Amino acid sequence: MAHSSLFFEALDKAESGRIVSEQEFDKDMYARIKRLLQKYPDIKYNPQVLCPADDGLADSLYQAGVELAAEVGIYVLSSQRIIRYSREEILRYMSLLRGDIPLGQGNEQVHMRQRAVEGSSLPLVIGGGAGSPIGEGDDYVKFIQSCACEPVVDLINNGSPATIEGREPKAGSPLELHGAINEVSWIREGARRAGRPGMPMMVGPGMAVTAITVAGAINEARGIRRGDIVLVAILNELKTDYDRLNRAVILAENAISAVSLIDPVLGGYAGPPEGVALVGVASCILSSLIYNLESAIFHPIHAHYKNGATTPPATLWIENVVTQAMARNSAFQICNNLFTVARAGNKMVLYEVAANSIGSTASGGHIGPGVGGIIGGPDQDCITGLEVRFMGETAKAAAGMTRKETNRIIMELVGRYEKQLQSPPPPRKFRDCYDWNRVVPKPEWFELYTQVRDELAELGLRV
Amino acid sequence: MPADAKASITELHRLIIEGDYEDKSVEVAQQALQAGATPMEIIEQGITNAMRVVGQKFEALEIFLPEMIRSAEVAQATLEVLKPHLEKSTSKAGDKKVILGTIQGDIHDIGKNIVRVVLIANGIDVVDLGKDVPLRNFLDTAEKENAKYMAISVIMSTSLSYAADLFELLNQGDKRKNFKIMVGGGCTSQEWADKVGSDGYGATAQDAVKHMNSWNAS
Repeated sequence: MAHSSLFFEALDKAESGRIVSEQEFDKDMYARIKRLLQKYPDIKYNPQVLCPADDGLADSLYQAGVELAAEVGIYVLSSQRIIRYSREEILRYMSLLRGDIPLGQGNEQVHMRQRAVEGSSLPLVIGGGAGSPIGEGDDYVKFIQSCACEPVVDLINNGSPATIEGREPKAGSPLELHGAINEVSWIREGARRAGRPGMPMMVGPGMAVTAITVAGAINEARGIRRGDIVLVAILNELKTDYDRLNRAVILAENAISAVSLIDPVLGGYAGPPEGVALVGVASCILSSLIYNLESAIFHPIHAHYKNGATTPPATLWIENVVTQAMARNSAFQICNNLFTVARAGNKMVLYEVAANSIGSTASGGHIGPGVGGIIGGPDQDCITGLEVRFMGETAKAAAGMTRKETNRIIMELVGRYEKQLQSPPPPRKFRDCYDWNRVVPKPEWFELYTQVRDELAELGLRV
Repeated sequence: MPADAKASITELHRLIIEGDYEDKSVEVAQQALQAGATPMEIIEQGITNAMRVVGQKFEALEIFLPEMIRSAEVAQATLEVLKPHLEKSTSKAGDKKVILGTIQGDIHDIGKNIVRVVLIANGIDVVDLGKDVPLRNFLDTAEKENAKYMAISVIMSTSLSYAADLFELLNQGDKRKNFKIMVGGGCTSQEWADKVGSDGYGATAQDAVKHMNSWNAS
């Protein structure tokens, strides 16, 4: 979406109106969530149906999300005021979305296009570290190369460098800026080594905590450039601040696409799974209006599981219903983040990947960034391109499948890993799973992948 | 304990679990005192027990953070009324005070808020500094509040250095020995906690309680 007067409207709203404390905003939001869930009782989490084939649920969720967005607005931490839009404004602006975001350069150009629920169009696959901690320099480049060399991957995504020049990165410091500039150059290099220099990046970057870092990392030759897409977060829940709004300005002024990062917390201020889904929809809508964008990385977080995983049953449901709600009722596009509990080198991570990716496809979304783990988590260098490949293969194989059939397979897969969610198998390092020099999977890891691929075929999904 | 006191404590227990009004819970706590319950009996059987139930309901996701916060607000309001009576009875409950906050450079606070409520649930006094807390605020507040404990939340890897700086600040002023410090949050680990010289690492909110209980017992 073009940088428009909508942005200045948002700025005016951020600086006017009553000053409200964050606590007051949170309490009011939660009260409204509870009221809306009573008003729309068909928005109901069923742990046996994680990919519901219920258009009524999806449409109710969207309507309730519009109401929540209109009633609550977005809280601006920096000014302690609320940006509000009326229901009519929301519906009008959402109707202006184009549903087509061109990305990449040259022979790697792709279009992020609106998908339908149960649609046969292929989802875009955003592969990479999704925030996982990765060693700097060549370690980072090799990992990116292992993802970029997979033909099924359409966009490349960042991890999070564990160190910068051997030093621990520090938010807001010159090292953060230097780190982000380095990081995007490593991503470019990894894609180049895979023979795909025009490949678009969907990045934070992992190192970029502050807006100035994003600005510093923009460089047509070796950094973030036109054709890439950069995230701008909605803070928990339904909040923003000047730094996030600054990011949106930087990206718009440089003609670089933005994607919102929305990560409501199950167990937190949004309450139950239904409340998290509601906040998810409202966040998508409001992020479109205040950040001038048409897509979101959606990542519901379960407070009880490590790595910020999206693969516990409740978070799978939330991703799927929010994706369906947006796909059925708008041209706003969802890219479902894929964070697993298990890391590389075992079957569990592949089961998690498959369950998450096929639900996303059947629900009308794109998949990734994935396969990731929370930024700065303890398992450094424990991801590889093979589980990213699997994410892409399963996502694309599920195109055109019904939600009912997809749910059957998801429930089988969840049954294979659910009991291990609190105690996953020990992770294995990239260098244990891959030939580091040739950047190909080692036979043992590839054999596990083949076994799970065959198991999926027996379940009815051939990748 | 007299029957009237028991009845009041039972009612207090219910009010806290339901997050009912502070005025009502304060009134009921005063009734319990007048009926002959000791402050510690009211705290342990009324407040701490109730908050434990609240914590269990949260673990089972029967309730969520807003409900937990509400219950904690009611519990804290009740504790404030009982504190003057505690000092008279020379109880050591007041020693359990922890300074809690998300470290500088980090604006995540949901996990920290969960820890706060769980600590309160277990009878621990919490001074919550919020998020993006400058290093010196931890030390200054701990000294002002006469607190011996700190709990630092770090979610983002880019804020780990700030947390390490806090330990350095305390070492420089030779004040490190005055405090027991625990760390927790998405990007922390036992390994990192050992590296910076933390006294404890918490993967869950319950770990925070275990550390506080173990430090208080020694």
